[in-house]
Amino acid sequence: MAGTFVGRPQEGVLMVETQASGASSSSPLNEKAALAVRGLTISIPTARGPLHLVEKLDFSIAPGKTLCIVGESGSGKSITALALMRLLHNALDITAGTVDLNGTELLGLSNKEMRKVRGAGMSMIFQEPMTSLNPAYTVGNQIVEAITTHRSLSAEAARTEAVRLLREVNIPAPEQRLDAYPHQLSGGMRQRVMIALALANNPSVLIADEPTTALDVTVQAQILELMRNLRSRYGASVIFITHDLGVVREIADDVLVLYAGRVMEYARAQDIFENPQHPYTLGLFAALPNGRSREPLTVIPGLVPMVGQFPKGCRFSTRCALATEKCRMEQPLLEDFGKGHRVACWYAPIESTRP
Amino acid sequence: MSDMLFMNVHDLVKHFKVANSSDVVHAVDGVSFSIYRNETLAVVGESGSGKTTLGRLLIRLVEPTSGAIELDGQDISNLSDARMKPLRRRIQMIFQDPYSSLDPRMSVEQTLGEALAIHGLAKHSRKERIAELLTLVGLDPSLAGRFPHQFSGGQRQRIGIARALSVEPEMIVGDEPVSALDVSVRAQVLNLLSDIRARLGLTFVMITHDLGVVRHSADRIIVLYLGKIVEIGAADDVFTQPRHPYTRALIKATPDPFRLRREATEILGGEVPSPIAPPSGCRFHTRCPMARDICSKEEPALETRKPRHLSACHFAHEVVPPISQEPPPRLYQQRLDIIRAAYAGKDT
Repeated sequence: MAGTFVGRPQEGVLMVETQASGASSSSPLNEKAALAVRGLTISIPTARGPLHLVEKLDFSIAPGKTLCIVGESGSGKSITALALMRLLHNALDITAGTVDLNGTELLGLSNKEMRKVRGAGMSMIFQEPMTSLNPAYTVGNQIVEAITTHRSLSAEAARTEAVRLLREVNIPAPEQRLDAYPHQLSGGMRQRVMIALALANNPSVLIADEPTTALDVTVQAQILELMRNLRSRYGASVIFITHDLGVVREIADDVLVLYAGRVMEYARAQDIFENPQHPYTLGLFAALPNGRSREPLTVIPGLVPMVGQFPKGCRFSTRCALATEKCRMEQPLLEDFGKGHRVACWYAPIESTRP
Repeated sequence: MSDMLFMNVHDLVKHFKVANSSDVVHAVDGVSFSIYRNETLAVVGESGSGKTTLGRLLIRLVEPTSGAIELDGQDISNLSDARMKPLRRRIQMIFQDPYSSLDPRMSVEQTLGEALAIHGLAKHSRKERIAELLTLVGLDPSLAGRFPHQFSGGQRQRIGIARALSVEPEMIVGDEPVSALDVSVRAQVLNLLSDIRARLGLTFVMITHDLGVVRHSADRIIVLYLGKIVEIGAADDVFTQPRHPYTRALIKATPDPFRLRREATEILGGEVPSPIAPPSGCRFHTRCPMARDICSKEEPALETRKPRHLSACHFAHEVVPPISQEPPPRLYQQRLDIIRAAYAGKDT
C-alpha cells in the first residue's frame, strides 16, 4: 500500500474499527508505548442521555516521542489532555476507554493513587504560565513543593535539586531566581519554570497544552528547542497540543488531527506534511497564509459544530466541500492506509473518485 | 500600491512615566516613516517593541511625547479634541480581541449606530447604512438586533470591522486583528480585509507579530525593536534579503510548515530587554549574533540599502539571506489544489 494512494480503497485494505484495534497497530510507529489510550470517550450527561465531546479516541506514544494533537477550538484537544490527567470538570465524565501509562490503567485508580501519578508519572504544562503558577509563592517554594510531594528529600537537598532544574531549563542565575515571584519573571521565563516543575519528578509523559502560543516568536523558538533537548535527555514522551502547523513541523514525531471530538487523521509527522489525505487536514493547510501567493486563502466555511449538534455521519461532513450523501449518513472508520497512516474518510485519499 | 503620501511620521517619541518612580518606558523612541495611500503597511515586532503604542499614536489614542504626525501635510500631533474629531472619521482602528472591544450591553445596531451618530449621519438613514455595513462584512443584516455574546469570535471581529468602516475612513489601523482567531476563521477575516481594502481603496496599517500573515498581506514592512525602526522596506525585499540581523532572526524563528527544522545555533538567545533601560548603542546588540565593539557604543543610523529599503545596522551588508521555503511536496501540492478548487467560491 505504501506510496501509491490513487483510486478508491480497494478490497483487502485493512479496515479497523478504532475501538477494536489491537495494541500493536495503534501507534503509527508500532513501538512499545509509554502511554496507550484506547476508545477514550468523554461525555456530558444530559436529560436525553450523554453527549460525547470526544469519542473513541485511540492513540499511543512511544518513549521519547512527541505526539502533536492538532485541531481548532472545540475539537476536544484540551479536554482530552485534562481527561488523561483525570482533571476533567465535574460535569464531564469519561464514559468509555482505557488510559494505560506504562502498564498502569489510570482510569481505575483511586483519587489518592492518581495524585501520585500526577507530577511523577505524567505532568502537564499550560498555555498561560501566569495562571498556573501560584502568585503568592516564590518559584523556589513551588518547585521544592513539587519535589517533596513525590520524593523524601531534605529541604536543603530539595532546594539544590530545584536549582538544578532551573539550570536544566536554561534560566540564568538560577540560585537567585529561586526567590523570585512569578510576576517578576517574563512570560518566557515563567514557561521555563513551568517546564522545570513538570520535569521535577522525571515523568514518563509530559502533556503540553499550547505551551508557546502566548510567547513571542523568538522565545517560542527557544522553548521548542528546550523541549526537544529535554525530551531526548529525559526520555519523556510528550503530548503537544497546538493549532499551529508550523509548530507541529518543528516538534512532532506523530500527528493526530482532531475534529469535533473525532480523529480525522493520525500519522507520522512526515506523512501529514508530505501525504496529507483528509479534507479537513488539507483544509487547515489551505487556510494558512504561506507567503507564496497573495491569492485569497481557502476558507472552510462555518464553525466546528457544538456538541449535541454533531452530524449523523462524518463529523466534518457539514463543512466538507467534497462530502457526499454517504458522508452525511454514515460515520467513516479510521482506516489504515499503510505504515500506520490512518484516515477517517470514505474517499481518502482525496483524489479518489466520488460517485 | 500608489505613491501618494497619506501620512508622514517624523521623529515620533512616546515615553511613559512609571508610577512612583523616576523611570521612563521608552515605548516609541524616535521613529520616522511614511504611509502611502492604498498600501498595506505591516508593523512587526515582539512584546516591548512599541508596535501597539505606535498604532495608538497614529490614531491619537495616546498623545505623543514629541515628534510630528502629518496627515495630508497637516501636523495632527497637537490638535485639540475638537479639531481632531473630523479627522478621526478618516482613521479608524480594529482591535485584537473581539470579546473586549465590543460593549456587551449594546446590540450590533446600537454599536454601529453610535459611530454613525457621533459622526453626524441622520437617524433615518442609519438603519439602511447598518444593513449595508453588515452585508459588506459578510454578516446577515437580520442579526443587527443581537448582542456580542450571541456571535462567534470571527463574527465579532467582523462587527469590529463594520464599526471601523461605518464612518467611511481612509485608513484603518488593525492591532493584531486576526491573532485571537482559529486558523480557518483567521483565513475568512484575512480574505475579508483584503477584499474590503481593494473595494474601498483603503490604506491599511497592520500591527502584528505573525510573519505568515504579513507575508500574505503586506506591501511594505516596518520592523520595530525596543521602540526603534530597525528595518523598513517592500515586503518581498525584507523577506528575501533582510538587512538587519533582528529581521532575519524573526523570519528564522517563525515556525513554517514547509521548512526543514532550523539549526539550534540559529535560534536567537535572550529576550527583549526592558524598554525602561534600553541597551546603549544598537539596542539589539545584547542579542545580536553579529555584534561587535562598535555596536554597543554607536547607534547605527537608519540608512538606505537599496531604493526604499532601509535598515539600522553597522554591518547590514553582512546579513546572510535566510533560506527560503522549500518547494512543497508534490503529492501535498496536488491535493491542496483539489481542496482549493473544491472550496473555491464557498467563502463565508
